[in-house]
Amino acid sequence: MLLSLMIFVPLLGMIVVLLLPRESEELIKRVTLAFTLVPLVIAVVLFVSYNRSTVGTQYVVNVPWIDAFNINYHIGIDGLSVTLLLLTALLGPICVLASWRNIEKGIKAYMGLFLLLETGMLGFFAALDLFLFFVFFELTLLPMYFLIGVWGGPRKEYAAIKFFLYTLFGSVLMLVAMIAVYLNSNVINGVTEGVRTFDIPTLISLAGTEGHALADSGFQMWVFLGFFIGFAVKVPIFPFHTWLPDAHVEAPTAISVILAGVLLKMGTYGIVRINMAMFPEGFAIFTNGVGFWGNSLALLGFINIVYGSFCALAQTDFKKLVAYSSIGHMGFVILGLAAGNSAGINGAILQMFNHGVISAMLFLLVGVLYDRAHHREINGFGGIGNKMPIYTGITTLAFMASLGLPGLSGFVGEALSLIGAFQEFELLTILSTIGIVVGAAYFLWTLQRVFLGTLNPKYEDLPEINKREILTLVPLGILTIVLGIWPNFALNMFSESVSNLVNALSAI
Amino acid sequence: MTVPLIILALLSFPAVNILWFNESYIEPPPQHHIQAQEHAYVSPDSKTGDANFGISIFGISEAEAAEEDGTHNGEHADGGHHGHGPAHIIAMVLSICVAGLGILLSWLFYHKRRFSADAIATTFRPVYNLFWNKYYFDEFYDGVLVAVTVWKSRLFAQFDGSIVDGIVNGVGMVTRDILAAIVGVFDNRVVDGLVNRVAEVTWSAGGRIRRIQTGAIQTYLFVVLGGIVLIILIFKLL
Amino acid sequence: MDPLKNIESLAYFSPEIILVVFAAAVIILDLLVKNRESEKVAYLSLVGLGCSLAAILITNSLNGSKEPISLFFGMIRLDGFAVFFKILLLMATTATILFSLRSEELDAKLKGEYYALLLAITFGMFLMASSTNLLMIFISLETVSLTSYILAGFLTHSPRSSEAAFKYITYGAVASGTMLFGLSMLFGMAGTGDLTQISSQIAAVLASGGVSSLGVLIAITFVLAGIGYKIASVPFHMWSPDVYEGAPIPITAFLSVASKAAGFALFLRFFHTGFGTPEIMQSIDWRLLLAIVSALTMTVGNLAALPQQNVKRLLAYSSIAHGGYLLMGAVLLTPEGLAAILFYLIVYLFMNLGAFYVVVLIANEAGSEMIDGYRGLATRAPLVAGAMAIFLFSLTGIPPLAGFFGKWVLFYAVIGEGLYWLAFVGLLNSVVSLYYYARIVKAMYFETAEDPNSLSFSNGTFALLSVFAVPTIFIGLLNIFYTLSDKITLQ
Repeated sequence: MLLSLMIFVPLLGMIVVLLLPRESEELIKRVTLAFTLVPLVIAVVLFVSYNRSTVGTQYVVNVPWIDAFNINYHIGIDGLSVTLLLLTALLGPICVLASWRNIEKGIKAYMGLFLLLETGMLGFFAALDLFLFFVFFELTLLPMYFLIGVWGGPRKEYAAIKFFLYTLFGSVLMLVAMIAVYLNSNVINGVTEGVRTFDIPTLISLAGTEGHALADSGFQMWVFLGFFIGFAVKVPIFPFHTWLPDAHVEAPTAISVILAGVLLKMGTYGIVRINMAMFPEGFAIFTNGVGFWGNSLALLGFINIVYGSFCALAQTDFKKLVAYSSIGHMGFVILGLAAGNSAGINGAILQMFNHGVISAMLFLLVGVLYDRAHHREINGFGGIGNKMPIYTGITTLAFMASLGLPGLSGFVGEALSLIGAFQEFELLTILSTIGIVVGAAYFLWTLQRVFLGTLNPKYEDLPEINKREILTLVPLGILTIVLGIWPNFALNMFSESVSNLVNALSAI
Repeated sequence: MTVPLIILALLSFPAVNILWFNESYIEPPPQHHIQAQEHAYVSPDSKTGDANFGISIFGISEAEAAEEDGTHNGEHADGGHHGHGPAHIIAMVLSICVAGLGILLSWLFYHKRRFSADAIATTFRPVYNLFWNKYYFDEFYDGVLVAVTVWKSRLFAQFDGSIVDGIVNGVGMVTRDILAAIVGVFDNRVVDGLVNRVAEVTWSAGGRIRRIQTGAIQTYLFVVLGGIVLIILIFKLL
Repeated sequence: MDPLKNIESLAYFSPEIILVVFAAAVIILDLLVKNRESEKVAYLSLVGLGCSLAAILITNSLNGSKEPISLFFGMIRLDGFAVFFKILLLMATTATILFSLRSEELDAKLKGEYYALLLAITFGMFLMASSTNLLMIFISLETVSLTSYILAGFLTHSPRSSEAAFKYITYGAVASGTMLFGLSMLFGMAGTGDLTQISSQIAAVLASGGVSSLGVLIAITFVLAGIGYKIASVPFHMWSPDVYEGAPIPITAFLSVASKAAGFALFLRFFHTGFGTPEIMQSIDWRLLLAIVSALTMTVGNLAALPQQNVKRLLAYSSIAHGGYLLMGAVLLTPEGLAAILFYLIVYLFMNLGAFYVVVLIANEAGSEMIDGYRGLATRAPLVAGAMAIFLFSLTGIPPLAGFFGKWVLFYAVIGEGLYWLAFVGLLNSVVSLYYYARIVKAMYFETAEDPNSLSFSNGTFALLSVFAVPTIFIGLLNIFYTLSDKITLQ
């Protein structure tokens, strides 16, 4: 019940916001903030009260929805989903605060769509029915399309439709795979018996049952691919990533934060929840280290890391740089997941959370600068450090966290991922560290070009970061430091689930 | 600046002690023990500032070290006993004699002023000079060893500055300005270009299909009849 | 149950009779009232539709056993399938009359005939949905066609409309002529026109070597030309963009929904009841061929829609594409396929009619059918723009809108038969279709209007708009709509 409340409170908020008069903008913003704070409070309650010692799902709600296809409204949380729910719920109010001043037109529609988006994201991380999972996955598309397209930058139309088409293309393949899974869910030893099901926990256990159609490795391979491409577009994994720089650059700050902070995690979460848990045989085919296909997932992770980092190094647009750095950092998640061992998966999930926090910070910071200077050209700044010392300090913290400085959160996730990956794919892991070096290079170089050196006389009167902006950054900054020195804070939540998953994977 | 440093230094002692040595999963590296014990051996009870600092930065007290590794201490204690043979007694007596002679001479020269030191210095000028310049050892050292070493290090520095660092800078520059730029362009033109190309092809296919739709009813009817023939043909072939 | 005789059948035929009576009454009333009171005529026709609906429900409950009844010596059949389509058609006609009331295109002087024709065409479609005899099939098809030629050319002052009507007639004449030829061949081979017996008769003739399978095949293909023309499937689709563009918008909406639905009813009767039996399928398996036709239909429709600037024409191509999606379900011959078509038709009715209603409104207010006319609609008329966005995204098939659930049941049925390739083609087409639907959304939301004045609409407009928009949001999310088609079979 608490979980359902959390998911649908933003939807209720959307209805309330749409009923408010268009003119009372301040009221709309406050109401939206209130409706995003409720999920945050619930998320914190769930996070604290979650029983860490058990593996199974908690706070389960399972009621019939569409009887004709045995589709249920089945939601629940395990350690992985509660962690990402916390991330999503945390970014909600932060994004509302970040949109407080810089959304000039249609604040009502903006806030309404944002609340709809939040419902989609929260529902996605809690869904335990494959159909519901898919519906929530797609539910994020519509609001995102409008949020980029209406409130975006100069090339917003191109970016919005590109994002939409790309993701829809991916989810189409996912839909086919989903139907195939559903149709085979009641076939045992070639005999059809019983009802078909979309229930994810049931499907996971069926996929491990000897002789079940879902357990067939050939079937698993194809279905794995279908789901994987759907999620790969979202992560994004090379070569399906080109929507990301456009979408991030054109989207308004808060929406970039959501894109990088949550939407990318939906892809990797899907890979863990569906691809790894449900199709371990298929997963093994692409990660067992034998031949090209056995290394392919790790190879994709490696390409993401190195390719994303090099692309980031080439950028002169601050926001585009951060966008490409996201591609690089999501590569560590893929690499860690490909390892399939405890360190790798724990690291990958931790990296998901950390990247959500750090990239959110980075996009917020880019937004702060953009709001003042109205451009993002890295070479157009210089010496900002003197004018905005607090801003510079927070940016340095975020940069250091992102480039993986030990003691900050980025390091722990990446290191664990690499440790895990090294046990399975030595060469690729060693080569992947190039990405870290290049990562340090572009962040430090940016730091140098934007904040150090002589002050560009144009920015003589640049105002310092204000309290509202600091308020959006401080919780994230605290999290990067806390997770850097006390990673168990998050690791504890999902290590049980992960060890369960690792056991299932190693049984293949 | 000073205050925080002092605090940091003070903090470092317990902090490192707790974080490093009290964690069971990281084995304390053995060389620290040895080093600590060497310090203990050098000044067993004086606790000079220097030695004390040296130990404290490793965050371990001497007593602890001694306690922790009793056997090593024992060995050193054994070592301390050796060297009580006759040769040592002769050396002791000799050295005491030499030292006593030196003390006597200097007492005669400078206290009693029995002899004039200046006079002797003028008389034995070359010897005096040799002694005064410490056998010209420093000059020899400067001229031969130091010059060669400095020349060599200049060479190395030059190599490091131009070649090694040049390679590093070169790699940095190549990575930043060439490799990254190429990857960036590749991403823009090839990967993204491919995506846009797919869109273009789809779009132009739409345009081509639209062209069949001429608006002339003859075309439409021709397509109907052609379609019927085609369907029957395909039917037959399937 | 034996087929009922003529007089016994009349009671079950009351919905159709009511339509004809009201069509006559509408013409008489039109002579009595003044031109500017043509609304009265429209209201009378609405009453006629209501009475017809009541009659459908009553006759359906009269038939307590729910067994199919054959009427008029087996000419037409009253079963759940027919009832479903009749209700669907009544809804579409009601919506069309309501659109016509608001449309400013139509000549007020001619409105009396216009509404009478709408009732007549509905009558014809009722017959299309229920005929089980080759002769009856042709007659019902011709009734509908002839009436729709007139309706398409109803804008007497518009050359485009006249051109549309002319092309429609010429095209329709060729298509229905071809069909009639095919039907006569089938009648000759089988010696009967009854769809329920034709398959066993033809199978027997084929077995005895009386005719070759090629002959049967040619006959079926000729019939397909007629049915394909009604549902606008490739290669018999070419009339539809021109006619849809030229016809009055309410008629375009009507043709794209009601005419297509009736065409599918006929298609299903002919191919499932007549030629879907195992004995015929042994020698002539048309499923793969029609699956290819279906794939081509949606691909051509979607690709040709991409560069369109005229929203009406764009929606015309889009409705060709949707015909392709429906055809996927029709070729399966499975209960899932049938259920999927019926469910999709319900969804399609609401979303497509809704989209056309917005086109009517914008044509009235902004005087344009071009995408440019939709610029900045989000600020000029936020509710209308929002409703249009809902319809368009539902047509694309984006969750949680009904269009997604419609496509879901279709693709589920297709993949259930192992036709993965067809499902892929269909789904890729959905992705392509997003692009042109989103172009309208883009114009409405992302671009600014040249004329920034906001448009005002009456409360009735918003009420009608929500009649389409609310189901488009909720049909898929609610459990009940999936079970509507549960009991409907074709045997």
